[in-house]
Amino acid sequence: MDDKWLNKLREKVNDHDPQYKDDFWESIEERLFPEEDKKPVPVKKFPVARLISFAASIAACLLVMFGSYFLLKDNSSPSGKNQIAGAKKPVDIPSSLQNDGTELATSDQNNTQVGQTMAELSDLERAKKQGIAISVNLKKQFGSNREDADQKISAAIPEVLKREPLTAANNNMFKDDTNSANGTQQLLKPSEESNEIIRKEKLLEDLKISKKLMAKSKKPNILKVLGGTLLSAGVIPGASSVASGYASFDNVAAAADSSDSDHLTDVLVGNQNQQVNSTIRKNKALSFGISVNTDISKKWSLSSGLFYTKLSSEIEAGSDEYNYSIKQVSHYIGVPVQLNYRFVNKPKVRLYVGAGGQVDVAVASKRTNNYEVAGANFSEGDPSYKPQRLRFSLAAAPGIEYRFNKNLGLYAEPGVRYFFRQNNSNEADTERNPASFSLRTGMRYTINAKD
Amino acid sequence: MNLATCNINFTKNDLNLSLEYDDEKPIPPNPLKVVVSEEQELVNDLLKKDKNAWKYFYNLYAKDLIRICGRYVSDGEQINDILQEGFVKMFQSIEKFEYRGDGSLSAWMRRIIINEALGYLRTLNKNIEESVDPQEIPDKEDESDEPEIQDVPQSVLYLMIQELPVGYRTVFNLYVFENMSHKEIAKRLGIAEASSASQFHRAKKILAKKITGYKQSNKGHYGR
Repeated sequence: MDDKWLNKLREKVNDHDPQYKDDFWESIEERLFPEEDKKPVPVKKFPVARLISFAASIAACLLVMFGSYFLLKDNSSPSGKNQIAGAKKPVDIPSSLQNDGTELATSDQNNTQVGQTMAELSDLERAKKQGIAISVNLKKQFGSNREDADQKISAAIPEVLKREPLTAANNNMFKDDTNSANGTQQLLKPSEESNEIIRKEKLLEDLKISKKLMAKSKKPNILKVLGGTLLSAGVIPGASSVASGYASFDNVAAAADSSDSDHLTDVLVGNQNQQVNSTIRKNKALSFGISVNTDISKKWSLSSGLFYTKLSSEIEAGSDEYNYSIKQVSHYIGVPVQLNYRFVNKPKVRLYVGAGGQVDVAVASKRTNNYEVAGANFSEGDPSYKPQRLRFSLAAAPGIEYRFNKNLGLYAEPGVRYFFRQNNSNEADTERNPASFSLRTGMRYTINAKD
Repeated sequence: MNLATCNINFTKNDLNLSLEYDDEKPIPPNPLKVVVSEEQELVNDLLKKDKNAWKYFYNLYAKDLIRICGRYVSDGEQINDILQEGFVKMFQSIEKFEYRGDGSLSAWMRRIIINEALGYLRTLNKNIEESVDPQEIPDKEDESDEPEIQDVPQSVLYLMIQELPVGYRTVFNLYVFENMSHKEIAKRLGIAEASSASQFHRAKKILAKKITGYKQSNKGHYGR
């Protein structure tokens, strides 16, 4: 350097001791020797390791997102509708059967393939058990004339009860049941009929008599039993088991105990010759609230808070003219505890994946039953509905947080939430599929942000 | 403050050195001139990721490091960021360090910190080739007019350097304090060699003007 004064300047400034209030070692120590795992920072942090870490984070996010997608797909059919007849996809009705309402039997065809599925077996067994109840109840109703009663009961028992036994064990169970119900043994013997057309015709006759019985008595207990049996057996279209759903069809049978059972009867009877559909909607669990976050390290954090959650679901079933629907809405206040792993930590944006649990307390709820009978609408609340007071759930979700400053931010966590069941609850949302998509969003305050 | 106490244990054919880090004793006046064996032993302890050794290492060179950082950035928080990242780099790459005699550790540490400082400036999108207010540049260039700095306190000189525009300041620091040529500076900063020379020239003129102004205006806004 040619300038002498610059040499002097260098020598003079080189000894200068700038004074800063900060103790820089504290933050350096925190980086070199993080306390959470008592391990120093990795000695060699290869780009490959970073790539693997990043890829793992992305994979976790994708897993959660795809998991959500498939859960959603299972929870509500893509079209939003389930063809209830036979609980299968819509069936083309043969022209030879269309004029006399045998589409019911045709729809049931999918269920008559003996031993096809475990679900079918389950339905059959349930139908048999309930069939005993039918016969007993019907005998009480029409027991004065035994022969007449037996004839009516015989006609009222769904065809599904007359199928070939699936297994020897099944057959034994069947016989045991019939022994306990005097006078019905003949009805419950395994049928020798294998011709599908004949079976369908007999089923049609059964249903016609069922209709007469329901129309004649209209007593809640009979309706309930019949409705429940036919629902379970998959005989009445619009009442068979639904592969996926949130609101249970048992609620429909339960509704028969209420004063509007006549409307349900009308719907059931009116749909006997109709092609029916069901629509099940379970609105996603939306949570809003305030989250408090504490950074354990630059990567890990623990969050909690106070959240309002709204759960709602709706089921509609029937034809255009005869249908019913159940709508229920529940409001919860909950406290979550969640552990988060942060893989992007920028001054303005944080990306992370988190998992944890939440407990919610029901604060309000409402269920409404609606019926449409020949174009006329009837609606009434269901006071018997009481949601699960305490709900426990697990959740996993990727999250994004936009930070207004070091401590305050706005965040959203779209993910999956699994609700634990409670046996004594008549909550419909989680009866069949307790896992669902959820969205939690709100403001977040971070106590000790570590950037 | 720390001091490395050197316990020398003689064995039959071997000289065994071990350092004990004592917070009570002061660091030598010129830490850059730590005896060779001591610095080498410190490197060995740093390799073991010993927390006390790293703390001693920091305390030993803290003033130098802060002073270096302070020439490139003046804010305490920015210095903190640079030191943090610099030490993480040292911690991760201490295995690659080769001891080559007295001062090699401090030179290695210095290089890392300067790299971090330059990288930090890049993240702030600071344009090294920035323009400067024409008022700042003296009209006439008189190479023979060298300011007298003897009566100017070092803290004032330090502050004057900090006040230079970031581009000028960076080139000036690399040229004056790191003894880099304009070719090396140009390569490091990704600018033209002529640009480096030009910015250094302007920085020098601005600084000379500040020093002259300080003496003429009786300390000016530096308050000393």
